[in-house]
Amino acid sequence: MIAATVSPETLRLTFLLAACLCGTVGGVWFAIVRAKRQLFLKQAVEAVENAAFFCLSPAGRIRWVANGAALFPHCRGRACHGKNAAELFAEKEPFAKMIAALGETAACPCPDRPAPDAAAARETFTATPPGGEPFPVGVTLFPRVKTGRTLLLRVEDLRPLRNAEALLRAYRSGEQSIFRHLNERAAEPRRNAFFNGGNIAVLTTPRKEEMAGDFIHLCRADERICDITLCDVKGEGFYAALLGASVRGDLNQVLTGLILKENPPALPAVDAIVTALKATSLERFRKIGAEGVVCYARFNFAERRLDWAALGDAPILHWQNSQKKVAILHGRETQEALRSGTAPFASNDLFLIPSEMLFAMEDPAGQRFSVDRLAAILEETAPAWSELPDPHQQLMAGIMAFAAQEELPPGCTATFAVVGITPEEETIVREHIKIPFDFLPGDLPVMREAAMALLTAADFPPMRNEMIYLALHEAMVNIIEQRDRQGRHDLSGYFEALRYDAMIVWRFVHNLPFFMPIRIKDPKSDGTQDHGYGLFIIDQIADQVLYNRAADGRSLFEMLTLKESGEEAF
Amino acid sequence: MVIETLEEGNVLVIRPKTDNLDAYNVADFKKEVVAIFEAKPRDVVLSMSYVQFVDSAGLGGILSCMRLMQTHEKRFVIAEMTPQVRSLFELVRIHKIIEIYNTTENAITALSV
Repeated sequence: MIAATVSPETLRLTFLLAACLCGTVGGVWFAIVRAKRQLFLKQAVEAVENAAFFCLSPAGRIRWVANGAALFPHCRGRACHGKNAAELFAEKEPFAKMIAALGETAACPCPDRPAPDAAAARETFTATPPGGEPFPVGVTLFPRVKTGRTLLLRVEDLRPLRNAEALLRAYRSGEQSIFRHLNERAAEPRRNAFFNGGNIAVLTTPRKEEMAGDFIHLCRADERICDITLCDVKGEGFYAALLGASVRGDLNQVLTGLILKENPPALPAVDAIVTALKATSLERFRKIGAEGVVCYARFNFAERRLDWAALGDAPILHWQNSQKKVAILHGRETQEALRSGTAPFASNDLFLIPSEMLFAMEDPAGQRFSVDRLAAILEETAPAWSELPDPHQQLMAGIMAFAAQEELPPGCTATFAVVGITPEEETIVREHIKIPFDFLPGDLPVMREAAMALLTAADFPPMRNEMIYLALHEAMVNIIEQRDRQGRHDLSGYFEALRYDAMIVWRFVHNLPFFMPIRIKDPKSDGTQDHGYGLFIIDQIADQVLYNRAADGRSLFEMLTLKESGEEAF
Repeated sequence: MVIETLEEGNVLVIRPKTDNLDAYNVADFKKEVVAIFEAKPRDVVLSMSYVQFVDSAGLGGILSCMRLMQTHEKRFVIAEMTPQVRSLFELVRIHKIIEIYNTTENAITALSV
C-alpha cells in the first residue's frame, strides 16, 4: 500500500535523508567515543605525579604532560604544550629518529583498527634542563594503543633519588642504600642479587624485561635486611606503564616520608608503608578506573623472619625445605583493614612472590589459575628443581613446570620474585683481611698479594683470579686518579675482603666524595676512545657492584665475586 | 720503558719488555711507540710476549697507537698475547676491531701479503 501512495522519488529522498542522518549520528558517535578516549588518556597521563610522562603527537609535539614532568623545570603545567619533545634532550637527532620510527605506527589513518603490535623503544639520553646540570634519563616511547595518533613518552631520571642523601642517613646506622644497580640487575632474568644470608632472583614471563607497568624494587636496608616490592598492574603497554610509574613514584614518596618522620630516621614498618601506599596509589587507580596490586615484603636474614603486607590478596609461597611442602601465606586486604603477616624461615627455604594478576587470568578451558594449583605443581615438581644450585634456577624450573602444565596464555606477563635462603654454613666468614691504604700506586702490589692469597685459599679458578684482580686494580687506580685529580693528599681509607665458602666480598672505603656510576656511559667498542673502560671492566667481571656509604659515612665501593660465576667467559 | 724493535721487510715488530702495561707506564709506552713509528711509518706488529697484565689505561694506549697508524694508512696487528690479556680484549670487545695472531711470524706473514 505504501508503494502505491509514495512515489519512488520520495522513497529515494527518504533513503538519502536516512543515510545522511545515520552518517551524521555515526560521525558524532565516533567523535564522542574518540573524545572520551582522549579524555581518559589525558586523565591517566595527568594522574602520574612522580614520573615524567608526555603524550605526544606522531610528529613528536607535546600534547599533555604529567605533573611529574617537572623533572624538566620548563615543562611545568602547560608551558611545554605544542613544543617538540626532541628539545628536551641533548641528543635531538637520535630522539627524533625514535619518534619517526614509532610515529609511522601512531599515524595509522584508522584509529579504531587494532594497532600493529609495535614494540616500545627504549634508549638512554641526556636531559637538558635550562640553566641546570645535564643528567642521564631513560626514555621509553610507547606507540598508540587504542587512542589513535598518540605516542606516550616516559622519561625516567637515572640519577639516584633526589632525596638519596636524606635516605642514606636513615638506614644502617643512619643510612639506606639506594639499590639501583642491583635493581637493574634484578630486571635481568639471568642475574641474581646476593645478600648475606639470602639470594634473590626475579623473572618476568614470557617477556625478557619490564616494558610496561609491572616492576620489582629491591631495597637493602642493611647487610641482613632486604625489602622487596612487587607491583602488578592490570593491562599492558601504554596504560600499564602509566600506572606502574604512578605506584613507583608513590612508593618513593611514601618511603621518604615515613623514614624521615621518625627522629632519628628509622625503617618504617611494612604495614605502615602499605597503608600509606593504599591511601595514595589506590585512590589514584580508582580515579582513572584502573587496577593494580602491590606486595611489600621484608626479609630479615639475621632474625630469619619475613614480614609482608599487600594491597589486594597477594599470596607468598613458602617452600619449607625440611618438610618438602609449600605453604601459602596471604596478606589480605579488605576495605576496612589491612592485615600483614609474619613467617619464620629456615636454611634452604625458598619464598616465591608471584604476580597476583596471574590468578585473575583464565586458562584456555576458562578455569582460573589459582595459587593452590601453583603450590601443588611446585610441590609435585620439587624433586626436579629443589636440588638445583641457586634459587633462580629453581624458580625457572618451578615456573616453567607451572607454565607447561597450566598453559599460560600467550599475552600473560606475570612477574615473579624468589628469595632463596642461604644455608647457614655459607654465611660464615672464613677469612677477613683489612689493610689501611693511603691509595698510592705503591699500595697496588700489596693489594695484589693479599687478593691473590685470598683467591687461592678460596680455590677460585686461576683464570678468574686474574680477571678479579684486574677489576680490583681498576677500582684502586680509579680512586688513585680521583685523589690526584682533586689534589686530596689527605686521602685515607682501607681495603677489606671477606671470604665466604662461595664468594668473596671486596671493599674499598675512602674519604673522597660519593661517586655516582650511572653518570658514566658504557665505552664504545669501536676503538675510538682511549678512556672510560675501567668501570665497564669492573661491571663485567664482578657478580655485583655497589657504590654506597660505609657505616662511618665514608664512600664505599663494594664488589662481590662468586666462586661459581654465572659468566661463562671464564 | 725498554722496547725491542725488529724489521722484517716492510713490517716493524714492536715488543715492549715489560710485565705490565698499565696506568703507570702507558704514557712512556705511547711516547716510545710514536717516536719509533714516526721515524719511518710502516705496518706494525705489536708483540706482547713479555706483557702479562694490561689494564684499561694500557688498553687505551694500544688503541691510541692503532689510530695513529691508521691515520698514516698503515696496518696494526697484535701477536703473542697471554690468555689473560686476550680475555681483557674480549671483555671490552676490542678483539673485533684489532687483528690478533698467535705468533709474530703469522702476523708478519699476514702483513706481508
